[in-house]
Amino acid sequence: MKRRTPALHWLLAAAVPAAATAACHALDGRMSLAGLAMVYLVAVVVTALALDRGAALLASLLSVAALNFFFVPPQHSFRVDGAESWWMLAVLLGLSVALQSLIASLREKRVQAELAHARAAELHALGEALAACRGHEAMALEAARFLEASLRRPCAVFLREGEGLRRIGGDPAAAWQPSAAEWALAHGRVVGRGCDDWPDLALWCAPFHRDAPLGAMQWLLPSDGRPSEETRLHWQALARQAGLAIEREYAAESARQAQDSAHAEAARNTLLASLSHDLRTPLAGILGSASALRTHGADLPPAERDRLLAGLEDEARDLSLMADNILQMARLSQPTSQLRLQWESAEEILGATVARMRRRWPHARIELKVAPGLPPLRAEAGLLAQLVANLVDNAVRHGGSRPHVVLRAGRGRDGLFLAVRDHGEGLPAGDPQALFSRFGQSQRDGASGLGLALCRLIAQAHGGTIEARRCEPGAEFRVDLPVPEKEGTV
Amino acid sequence: MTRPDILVVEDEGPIAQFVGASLSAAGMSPRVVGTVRDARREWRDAQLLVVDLGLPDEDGLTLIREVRALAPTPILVLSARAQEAQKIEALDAGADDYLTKPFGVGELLARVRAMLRRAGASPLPAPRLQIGELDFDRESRELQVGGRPVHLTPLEFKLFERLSRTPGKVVTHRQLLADVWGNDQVDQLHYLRIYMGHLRAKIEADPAEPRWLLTELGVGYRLADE
Repeated sequence: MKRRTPALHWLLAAAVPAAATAACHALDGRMSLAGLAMVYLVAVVVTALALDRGAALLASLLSVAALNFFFVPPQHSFRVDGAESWWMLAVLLGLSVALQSLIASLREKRVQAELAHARAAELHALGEALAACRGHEAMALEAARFLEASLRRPCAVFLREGEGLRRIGGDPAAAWQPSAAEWALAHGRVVGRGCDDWPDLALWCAPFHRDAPLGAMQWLLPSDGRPSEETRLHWQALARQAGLAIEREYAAESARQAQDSAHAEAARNTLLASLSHDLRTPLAGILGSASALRTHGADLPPAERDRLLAGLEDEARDLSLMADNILQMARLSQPTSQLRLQWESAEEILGATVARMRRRWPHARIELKVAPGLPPLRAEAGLLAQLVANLVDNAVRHGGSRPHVVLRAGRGRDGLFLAVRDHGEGLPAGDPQALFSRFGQSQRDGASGLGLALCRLIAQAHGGTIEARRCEPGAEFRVDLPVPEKEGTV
Repeated sequence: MTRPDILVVEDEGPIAQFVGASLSAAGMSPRVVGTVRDARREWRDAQLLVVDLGLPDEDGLTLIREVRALAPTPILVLSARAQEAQKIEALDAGADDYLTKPFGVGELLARVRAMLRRAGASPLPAPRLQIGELDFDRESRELQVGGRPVHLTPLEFKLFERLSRTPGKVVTHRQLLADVWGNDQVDQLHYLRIYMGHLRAKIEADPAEPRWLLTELGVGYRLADE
């Protein structure tokens, strides 16, 4: 890029030889002609270093002319007598021109290096800015914003949406050309000013379409002028980097969505499988007891009648618990399910659930140990309570004839943990994590198979994890939940 | 002693039958209706209403608002799991307590008895409240637990005082926040949790397993009344 030589340079181009002339005038008579020529040489070097190339050339011409006119005999004339004088003037001129071109080429290299550095920094900054975005649309918007600020040109990203393109970012009033973006995307070529295609348009547009045509970047240019080859190469590098990042994010999102729907599909399958198996067992018991009571109620001894009635109540309670689990499982298996998160206290959730579980299992010894000063967490209280209830339920069912269950809560790896320990028969052989997979029911009994699968869903929905491990005796189930940056501190 | 009249508004046959039978067996005289329309005709004679939220003709909430606008008759709400959010709405609209289906006879009768007992008491909060080892003097602002005086900060006092006005009755998070912190703070649930934590630390023997200040998960709190 050429800049105009400032007026000051032209002034100095005249002033420095004039100063050299004045100095030589003062020295004239005390110094030989060669000595005076050295004064002019100094002037030429100074101007070559300080001034633009044109001005420096003018200064050296003026210096040679002044030396010739004022000091080379015959004085006050441009005539030159003698080979030595010719030689001296020629060397002065030759040296100054050589010096100027040397300095100019050094300067050019430095400017190039600075530009290359600035462009590399720009690419890097673009990469950093995009890395902070989640979602390909947010990334497209950030890319448009970044390039608009950095190139000082209106800039937008066009993303494919259905049949057409949607513009992301950029001033809506600007003269965007979606058709240019369409063309670039359809042909996979860069279009606009300085390109082979559509060179008359006052814009520049590069598609990104590594795997599939996804979108294009477009920026608007002034109506005249042509970007240099290097500028265009740099633009392409910027567009490629932004495009790659957006494509990568888009691909990751698609993969996540596919995974979510696969999860939902698997959950539906489990739900159906467990419905057919797990519901039938208690229903058969209820039906059997109820019909026995109705048909033979009068003939049965009171103790036997009581036993059947108590069984009815138990089976019905199990069914109702299972209905709750199925309901929540169906809800959490939806890829779009949203939790109603509130600031909750783990201590309260555990306290209320333990009170309920003691009423439900009067024969079990249930201990609660909560570390003081636990931070609040974002949770849906009902779901977390159901998780704890399922774990305690599971612990009591597998806790032997006199179940002893210990619930603990405290600060964990990256938030807080809840752990439920039983002292019973322990875990079945094999990988403990398989207990949470929804088809693992056969290892433990049906109700808790579904319950543990739901526990995992609830933990995951809260951003946490659940794991089972063997203890001596019994087993421990541990849930780790993240604690968010608090908005309200104690 | 007379048999208290209880109006059960429930359209699901088996539940209506079971609630009716349990109340009769416990010495009360229940009447069962299946619609809001019928309930509007009948509720004035009742001493207590048991209202299901999912009714065929109109929303149970509508009935609760209408009754509450006219009379202080205690209302017990029955809700299914799918109506959890409505349950809180019903409490805020003036219902006194709730039961989530399925529930047992024991729970039902305990709630009904507690509500009838409270309804018989004076509508003004008693100046002095004694529940178990809690001894609260509203006038002198003194609270003792098992004879030991407990010092409360002004906000803790306001919170405890609000719960003590209706012992045994669940008070929703929203009501507590509005009455203690003000109407513009009803979404600041974490204030409530923090102060409830402080209050429990001062009053309860084991704050993790409260005996007096009970949690109703996702709904609110209640002060135990026995």
